[in-house]
Amino acid sequence: MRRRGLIGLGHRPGLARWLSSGIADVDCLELTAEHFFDADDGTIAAIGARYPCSVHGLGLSLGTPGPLDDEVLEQYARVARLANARWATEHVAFTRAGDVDLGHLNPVAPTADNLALLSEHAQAVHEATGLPVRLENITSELALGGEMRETEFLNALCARPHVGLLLDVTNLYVNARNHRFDPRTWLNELEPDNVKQMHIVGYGTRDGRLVDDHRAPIQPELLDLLAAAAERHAPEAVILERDLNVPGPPEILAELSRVRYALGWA
Amino acid sequence: MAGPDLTLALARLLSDRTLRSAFAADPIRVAGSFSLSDADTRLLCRMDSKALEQQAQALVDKRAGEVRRLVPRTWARLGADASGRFEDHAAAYWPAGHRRHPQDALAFLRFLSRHGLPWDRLERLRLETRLSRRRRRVGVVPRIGRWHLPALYVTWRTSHGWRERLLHLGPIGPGARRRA
Repeated sequence: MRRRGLIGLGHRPGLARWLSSGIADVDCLELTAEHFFDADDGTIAAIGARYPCSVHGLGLSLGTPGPLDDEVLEQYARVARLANARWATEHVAFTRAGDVDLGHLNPVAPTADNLALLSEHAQAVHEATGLPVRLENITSELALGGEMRETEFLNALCARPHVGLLLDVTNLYVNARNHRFDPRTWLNELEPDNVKQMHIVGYGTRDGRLVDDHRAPIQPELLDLLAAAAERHAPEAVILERDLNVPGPPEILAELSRVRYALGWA
Repeated sequence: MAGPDLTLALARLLSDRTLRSAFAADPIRVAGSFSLSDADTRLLCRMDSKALEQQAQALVDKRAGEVRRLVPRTWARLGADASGRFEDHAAAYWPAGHRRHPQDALAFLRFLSRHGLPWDRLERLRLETRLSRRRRRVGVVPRIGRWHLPALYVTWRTSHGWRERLLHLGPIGPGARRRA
């Protein structure tokens, strides 16, 4: 019998009032850390009191050379603490380097030095929060070369203590279509059980390419890929990551049901 | 050693379209200007300049999407020029920190103002207030829609987030909706 994980969604301002009442079909919430840096303690604690939470960073920039930004890490850890979070999540990426802050996620070259850097930063996040760390694969127009394949890099990262993969199924699919590789082959290269959590949301299109714009309902091919991933791993949580064009509660619950059904967790 | 210095070089390229153009024309020369290791230089030179441009554009597009959500009235007033004007602004300004999107939006409004282009006063008031330490603000916005006279914009912060109201003075124009 397949072990059932939690199915939840990203906490968004437009859903806050609805979620505050406690929704039975929402097993868990993912809090984007930066959205709560200016929130008061009570607001964060109230969410954590109702739902199992993960805290998802956008700005720790684990791929940036040098130490993590102390202030950002402290703010991230505060949100995690107040939310009584179970997991700390971030990205295999960088958003800033040197005096440049690009503000969004960019790929790191899959090299031994970047593996060491990301490992060191993941451990720093674990030490600051006391939580298991989950690192997410990103989309990129750039397919950076390096000393190893992306999956090899991710497997090596997950071999470090307290680290697992947050597999973004949509990001995988977008990259696979744009860079013309088979997402199932990529999935099969991951060591079993490295995938600890998953993200899913519908993709968009622009100028003939797929984009991760987080604004569309989940397409069937993504649900197929999600189910394939869940066959080889035992995800502790699957998160619907809708950021834009967020529908009302009935549609959100319907999306979660589709995810539940695709996973066989109904 | 391959890795961290390459990340720095990549960040420079992604933030500087002039540098990207130079890289597309002569990647070896541009890679050489970064003082990278031989291994990093080889990796950088193998990078597809078209993909690099697409990644840079994706970053700007994401910024533009966030700003458009924050200043939809200004964006609508710019019409077909909106994306191009935003790219002009984005080429010279990179916001930082967790408030980057509202900072970017406010900086964009100021850019438009400096260049004599249309922008929305209500959206500017809203952003300035929310990026300040203020917990409330009252401001005057010019005619909105078909309301004949300026309106008072009132905003205040509660434990559940920001609230705002527009208090219209005087009559509305013919055929207008009663609620703005």
